[in-house]
Amino acid sequence: MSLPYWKEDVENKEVFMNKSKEFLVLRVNLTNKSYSKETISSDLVRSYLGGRGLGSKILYDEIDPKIDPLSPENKLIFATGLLTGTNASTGGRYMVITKGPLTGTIASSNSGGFFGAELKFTGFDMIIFEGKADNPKYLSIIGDKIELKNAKNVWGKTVHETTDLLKKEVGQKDARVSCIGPAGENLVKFASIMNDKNRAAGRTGVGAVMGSKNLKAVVVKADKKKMDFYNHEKLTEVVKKQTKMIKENGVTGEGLPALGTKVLDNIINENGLYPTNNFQKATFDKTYEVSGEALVEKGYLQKNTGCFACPIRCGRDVKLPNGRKGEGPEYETGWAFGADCGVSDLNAITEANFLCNELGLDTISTGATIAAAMELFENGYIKKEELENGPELRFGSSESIVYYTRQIGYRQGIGDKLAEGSFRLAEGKNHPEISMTVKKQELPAYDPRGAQGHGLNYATSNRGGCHVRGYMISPEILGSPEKLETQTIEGKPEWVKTFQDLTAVIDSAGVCLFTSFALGAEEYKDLINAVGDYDYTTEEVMEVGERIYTLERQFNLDAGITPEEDTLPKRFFEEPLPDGSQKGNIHHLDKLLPKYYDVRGWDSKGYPTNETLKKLKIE
Amino acid sequence: MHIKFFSLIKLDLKKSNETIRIDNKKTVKEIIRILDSRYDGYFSEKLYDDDNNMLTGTIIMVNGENIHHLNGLNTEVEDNDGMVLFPPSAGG
Repeated sequence: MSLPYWKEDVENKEVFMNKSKEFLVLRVNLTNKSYSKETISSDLVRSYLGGRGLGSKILYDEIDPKIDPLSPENKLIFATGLLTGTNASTGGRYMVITKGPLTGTIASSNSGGFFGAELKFTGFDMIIFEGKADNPKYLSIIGDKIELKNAKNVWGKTVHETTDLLKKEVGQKDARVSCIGPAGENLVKFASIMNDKNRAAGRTGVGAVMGSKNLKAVVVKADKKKMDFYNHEKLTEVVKKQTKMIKENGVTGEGLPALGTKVLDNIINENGLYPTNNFQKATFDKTYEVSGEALVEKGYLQKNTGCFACPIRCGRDVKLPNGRKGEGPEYETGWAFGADCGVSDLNAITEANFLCNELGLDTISTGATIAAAMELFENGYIKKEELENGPELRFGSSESIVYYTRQIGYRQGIGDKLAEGSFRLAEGKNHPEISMTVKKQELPAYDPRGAQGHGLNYATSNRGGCHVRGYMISPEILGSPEKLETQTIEGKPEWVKTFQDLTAVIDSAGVCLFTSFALGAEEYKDLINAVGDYDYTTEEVMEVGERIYTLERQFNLDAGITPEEDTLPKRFFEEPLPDGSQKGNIHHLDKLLPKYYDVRGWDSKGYPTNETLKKLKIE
Repeated sequence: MHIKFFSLIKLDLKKSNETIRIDNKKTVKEIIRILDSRYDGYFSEKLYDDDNNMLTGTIIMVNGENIHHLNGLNTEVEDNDGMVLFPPSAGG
């Protein structure tokens, strides 16, 4: 498809002059095993920044939103941000954008590690995969050599095995590998794409799309860093100031490095919104056993790990008593396999996490789907015979979380049904109300009855149930940048819009969302202006975020995802929180949603108005 | 009154709680001062900025409610109340 902003093939053109004003794209057609290089115009880069924003724009322009996500017509886009690979703090992110098989919405999943920066170093800002290979392939970019190679030796292998084997095969021990595991090959609807072994583009099932294309991996190694597209001195001046802010901030300078994301377990539990037993309760009496503090005190934590250019280093390098080593668990993972399944065995939770990393599974959807299966089983909706020889799916069963994670990854036994996600599983049992999902994606570790704004964010997230589209826990629970009362309605729709738009900017720029605990819109504007040589005001940068968010919305509407799906499981409207410090609360989406549509410039039914689309230059 | 410690406070002090006996109502600020006297000024260093205001992200709860929505550091507590302290923390 030829678009007005594509220039002629630039195979032999010197593209690294003023590169910030253009993006270099490698377009790979898997069906006919060909590739081409193209550039994206400076205007479009300026309007969408790269990463999630620019990837979404390409997807919006190039595919029919109604296609089957696992068909060859879908495209899979690996996109770096404007700041990826620079010395901006945490500037190592890349995003995978596609139409998601779990939700049917636009899907974009963000990952750290080192792969994104290495991809940028090769000179490519983005890779677009089209079609479907007739047998397993992997893409190799080593220096200037681009090859689509046979992946039969690694098909069926785990993420860790694949990573090691492909580095050996290309003869580059420092190469960076992004790949799927058996779960992606088996089209598990919440399969992840893993890079650097343990970093995940985790949510929305992007790994299944990669598997559907018979694409096992992308291997990158630059021979020299092609990063001469921006003014280093100008950016470094901004970065120095902001790194100081990050290091001096209590959260990013001390809390996250010391305890990682699992510092949240006790906070969320004490605040009465720690979902337990598939959101049937809001506190877990064994939280301390599975908390970040316990990970340190039990001696599991060996050291911190960090992604490219990260001064925070929140990653956890752990070793279990049985000698198994790996990374994790993060807060969300620990909760999904822990409290959500009623499990207090940190050892089993960590084992399940390791397994997800090796099989290439989203830990949130895996744990939460098992939790839903436990509620279905305990209510008699899943029969014992269906489990074959597997352990009973009862809350608190540490054996189950490890056993069924493996079954899901390989689609064995009842794992084949769980691999479709909790919504399809519960609907198949005629009890969709037991699936704690929004737009068929499993909700993360905060009960929306305990934070009204966060619940509104869940209901309106463009990629289904998700906490990192607009992390309202920050103001409603953590008090950053200021403390909002959890149950207040007034003002929350405006806050949610601001958080969602700013997050779209951060994701598209290629830095980590965790920097936002120390930095604000003003600082991101400075970073973007410095690297792109732009003159954005803060308001204009926020409008970029609004443009991205609205474009994603438009894609979903065109895909047939109607505003009726801007909702929450009915448990949150009908069953008051039964315990904890917020006992008795329900969620008041009906009071929040109309105002949210209004502040977004959407009509009362949830459709962006023509004026809004025109203002944001969305065609 | 019973005070629970989490996060860095628990790891640094190797202690998960403290009990303070108070005969009359006291403010949260006064309770922190008592804790400071027992732990060499540790608490105000972890929870306050240079002007002795709560650092952004500090969470102090009294009987399950964040003191931001009560009377801040001037919130009054009694001997049978429960308090929870978190230094600035976040994740996701």
